[in-house]
Amino acid sequence: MELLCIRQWISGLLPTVKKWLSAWCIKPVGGALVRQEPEYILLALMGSPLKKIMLCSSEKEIFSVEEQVMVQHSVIINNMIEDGSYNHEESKIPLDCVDSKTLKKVIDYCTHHTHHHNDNQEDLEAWDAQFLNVDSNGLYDLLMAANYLEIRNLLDLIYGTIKNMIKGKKIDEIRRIFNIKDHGFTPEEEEQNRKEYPHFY
Amino acid sequence: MEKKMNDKSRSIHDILPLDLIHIILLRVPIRHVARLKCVSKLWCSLISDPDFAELHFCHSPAATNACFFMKNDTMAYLVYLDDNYASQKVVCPPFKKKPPSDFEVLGSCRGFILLHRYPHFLVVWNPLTGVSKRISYSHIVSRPKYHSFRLPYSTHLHGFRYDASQDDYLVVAACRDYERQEDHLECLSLRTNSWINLDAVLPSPLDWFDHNSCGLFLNGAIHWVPSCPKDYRDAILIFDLKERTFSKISAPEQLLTVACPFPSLALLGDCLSLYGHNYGRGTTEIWVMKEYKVHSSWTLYEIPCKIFQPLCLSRNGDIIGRGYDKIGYFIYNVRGDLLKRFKNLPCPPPIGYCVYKESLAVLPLPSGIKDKDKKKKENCHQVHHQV
Repeated sequence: MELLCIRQWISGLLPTVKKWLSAWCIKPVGGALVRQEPEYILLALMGSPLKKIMLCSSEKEIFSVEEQVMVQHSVIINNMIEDGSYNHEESKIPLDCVDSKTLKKVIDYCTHHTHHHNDNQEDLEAWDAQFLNVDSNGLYDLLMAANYLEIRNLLDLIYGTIKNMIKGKKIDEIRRIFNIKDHGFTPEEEEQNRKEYPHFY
Repeated sequence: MEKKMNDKSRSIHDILPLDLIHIILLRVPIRHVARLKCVSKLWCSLISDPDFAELHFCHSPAATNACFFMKNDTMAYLVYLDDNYASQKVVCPPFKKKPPSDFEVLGSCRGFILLHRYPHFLVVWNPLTGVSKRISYSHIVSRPKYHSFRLPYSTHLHGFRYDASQDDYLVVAACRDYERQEDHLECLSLRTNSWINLDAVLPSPLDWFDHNSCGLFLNGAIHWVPSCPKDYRDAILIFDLKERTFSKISAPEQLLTVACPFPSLALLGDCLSLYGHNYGRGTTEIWVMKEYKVHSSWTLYEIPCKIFQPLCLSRNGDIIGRGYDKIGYFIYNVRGDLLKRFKNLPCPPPIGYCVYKESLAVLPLPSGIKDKDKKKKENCHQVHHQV
């Protein structure tokens, strides 16, 4: 009974403490009540900084990454870990819509931002700028991956970059940047637009 | 291993799903979005969607408040004001070919500006898209009996609001006929292009108001303050457009009794505010009604500037306004500390300006009426001030 009260009190305080208590908790396994292994408890006590999870790209390549890093950035992965659908010993998280090259980049982003979150703003921004120095296809892939994994700050970063690619540019330039060869307008519509708004082109 | 082809012939449309392209367009600042309709048919259809304008207007982080006023008969200024920067833009209002008469700026609603043109015309205009519409309310203005001299300018009240439930803009015009001692109130729906006579709901005489006054729209109602409110309890006149009733709310007693004889209304954030100049103390008192129609929620903020006209709130919740004794635009926080001053920007006259927020919204035009935007040349000079 006592343990239960303490658990409720502390579980409101820190997530790592919550993990620690869940390690202590008596879990039903196969009809019997089993305690967790002592090593697990120790890791949980330390806040398990080195606990890794496995991400599997669309090309079936496995990437091992710190759980803490992905949980901090990706809402999807955080939810999976929180609701217990991810079994650390066995499973890997399949990401069928993200290819290896993009997944590696996404992991780089999350890892850097977790380990360097105390850096000053300018350094982080410089790193971000360098990080997004990719071709447009790479950028779209990153956008879709970030959207799928729900990584808020990466999404904002990419949207910001694309917005800057659009702002203030002429129509012909925008079409070139985004490789829009077939704009979909009839020749008459296109001519009409060009006549009405010549300063846009 | 399957490798993704970085095919040069694939465009953004082939790679990104529609919802992501939609989000990209929603994040582009409103000033740059209008032109994107010409990039491709897909972008055109996304931007022209009526919900797009609404989404962009409500959620766009980039929509900045601007102060709009007339420079002269043919040009107007838009001064964009934000926490860290201010910029100006010159735009050309939609005048007809013959020499224009005086235009007066009355107010703004959802990207449209309401202008008044003597003697009895109103013009609704969106500076961003160029769409405009001229409205005549001659049928409710008195015709002078004697043509040899001009009769005193009759009192006019105006209001302008957007009704989301009908996707309609409503223009309200009220005027007092001094000669016949009659008051008239009519409401025009831009969607149906029809006037509704509301004389019956008008309260006691409108002779409180001695100049063209455009009401402030908030919470489904238009608010006006008479030129010289006699009693603090009757200080603010409200016309509820849905219920079509008039009512009054009280102003803080101190505002009227102490030293501010001519209070004015402003909209700060989502709150109705009354401000007046306390010449004795050399400050401007701004009373903000934090909870709508709750008298006890009037909160005072004192700005240490003799003649300060609050315009709007900045994104950080600070008060942006225009100073008269000290020229320029100022940003004060709620404690009255001066945060920023923007000099070298054109400043509006004491009346005849409005606070405006850009939007791509279009007017609900009844069939058969064409927009006048195609022929107008937009003269845009942007000057950025980094402060």
